[in-house]
Amino acid sequence: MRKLLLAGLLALSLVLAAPLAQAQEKKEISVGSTVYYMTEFITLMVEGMQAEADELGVKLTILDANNDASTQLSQVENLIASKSDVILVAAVDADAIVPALDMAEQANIPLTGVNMLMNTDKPYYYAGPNDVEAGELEAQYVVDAIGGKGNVVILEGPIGTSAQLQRLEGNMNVLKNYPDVKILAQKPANWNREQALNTMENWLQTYPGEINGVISHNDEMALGAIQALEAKGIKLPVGSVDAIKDACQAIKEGRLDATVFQDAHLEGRLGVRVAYQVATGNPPPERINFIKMELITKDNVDKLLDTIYK
Amino acid sequence: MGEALNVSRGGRGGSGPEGSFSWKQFLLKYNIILILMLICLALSIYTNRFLNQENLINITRQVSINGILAVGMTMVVLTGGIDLSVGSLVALSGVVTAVLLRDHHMAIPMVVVVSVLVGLVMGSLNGYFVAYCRAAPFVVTLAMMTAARGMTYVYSKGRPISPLPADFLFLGKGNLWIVPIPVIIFFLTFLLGVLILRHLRIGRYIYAVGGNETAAVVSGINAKRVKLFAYCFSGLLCGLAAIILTARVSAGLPQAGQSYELDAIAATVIGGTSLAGGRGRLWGTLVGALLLGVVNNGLDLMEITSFYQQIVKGVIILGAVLLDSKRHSA
Repeated sequence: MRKLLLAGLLALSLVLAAPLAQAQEKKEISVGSTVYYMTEFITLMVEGMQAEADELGVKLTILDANNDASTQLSQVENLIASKSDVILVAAVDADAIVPALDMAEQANIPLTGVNMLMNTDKPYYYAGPNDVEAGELEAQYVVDAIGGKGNVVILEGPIGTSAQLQRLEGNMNVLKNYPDVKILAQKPANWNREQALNTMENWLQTYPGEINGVISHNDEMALGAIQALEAKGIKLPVGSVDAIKDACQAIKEGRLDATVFQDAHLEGRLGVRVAYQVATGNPPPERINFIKMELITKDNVDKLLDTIYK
Repeated sequence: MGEALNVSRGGRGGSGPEGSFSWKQFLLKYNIILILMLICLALSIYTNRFLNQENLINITRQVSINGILAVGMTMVVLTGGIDLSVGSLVALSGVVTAVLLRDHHMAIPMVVVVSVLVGLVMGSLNGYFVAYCRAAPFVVTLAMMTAARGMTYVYSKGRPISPLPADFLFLGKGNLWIVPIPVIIFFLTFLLGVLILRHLRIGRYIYAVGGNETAAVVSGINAKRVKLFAYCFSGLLCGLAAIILTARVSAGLPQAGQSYELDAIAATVIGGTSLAGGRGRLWGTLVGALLLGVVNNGLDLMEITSFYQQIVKGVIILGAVLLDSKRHSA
């Protein structure tokens, strides 16, 4: 009998989970969203999404695809089945999300994008960062800091992700204009501080005294690289992307030189707003809505430290 | 499936007399189906979006990749082993598939054969090191998991590979009447697994080797060959799953398949297969895979935010396994 009881409890656990779900009222607009993974950045973005949804009186569901493209497709299927009015996607992969657009089209539910562009010719509405611009801004900063000549290394994001591809594209857009700047090495450290630390240590061994600047695709990796540099007593210009709190403090302390701010909260708000406008039949004038990317240095870092990171 | 159950119990002694029917025995034996039904019932009561044709088809489509991998995983676990490399092998076969289609314009049937062969070859390496070099399965397949992921990155140069021909995408998105192609492939795979475990000699050998390897060897079974077979089969199914995954997401993704081994192991264990080997049933794995799929789908439909979903899923996996351990100690 105890086993039966246990079985009952298991089923009950699902029923008990029900109050966790938001109340189901069909009159209000419902936005079903799936985001690629709950990173610190996405968590901030999701807070912005929720804030905007609350203001608009929209019901928002947020699913986490755990960085798996196939899981994300399943979630889109489930959101279609649950009759969301609009589906908002921060894609795991720019190519692999394309079937979701087809599914949504067939189900006659609009699908809009946030944070990650989709690799398709089909028109869709989007709000998010301009990662190519971010890559250009950080590379330009580092190139200027080393006087337009010298050797740089690049710490890349996970291979094949849109952010890695686009930030690298931005890096290259700048670097190709400077024949005297040589890329000594480039390697993915997967957004990871410790991996970047190890990679930078190895580079310092391989190219002693030859590295003049570091370009990193995100702050975590930049901070790892800086730890490796500091351990050797070296100070080099480091450019980065994201402007997380740790990075802003590092800039304030003079350990990091520059990062590019992508306002996660604003991005989340804009994502939900665009989705809402599309669902209610008043889409924004432009399909692709880039949020402004901003270079953060010692000169303007206080603006972030005094507001969102207070 | 009574026969399979008898066989499966062969190594460890059955629980209770067969023949005389008792509800208690029945419920204990099929508790996993019972849980699945209870969860379905709870979901149907809670939301009217669960129990309809479209959603049920969604669920079966969503479980097919994990289901296929879990069939291979069950085979390996029955021998007392484990295969941690399945996610990486799916990714490797997937990018090979995509490159052959996009850059070499190879005919689709040939691509399917090559993808399955890639999985088979990598699986045979797993099997060789486990069976003939007596290395621990956990370590061998962990090494393969890392190495195969690396090969995937090298082969794809780390980039997603697309576009792929529309004919090929049919394998992931298409339907035969209303049944999705992935579901048909999964079902055929399951039948093949049942055929092997129930009706072929190698199937009985798998149970024997997993139950008591020494006894199996003494009674003349070539335990090495049996293990090699299990890992080859698991690898082969990775190649098959890769076809579906690649067609479903319409791209060869170098980072695809991460942690798929854990889902396959979860389905296997929820289905009642013992990680110690020698005891388990393929239909249990089927129900285990369905259970995971229903829970994923149901929590999405209930619009429960992902953080809570993982807690609920953890509770369900643990609960199902506890229930099963009670059954076997009863």
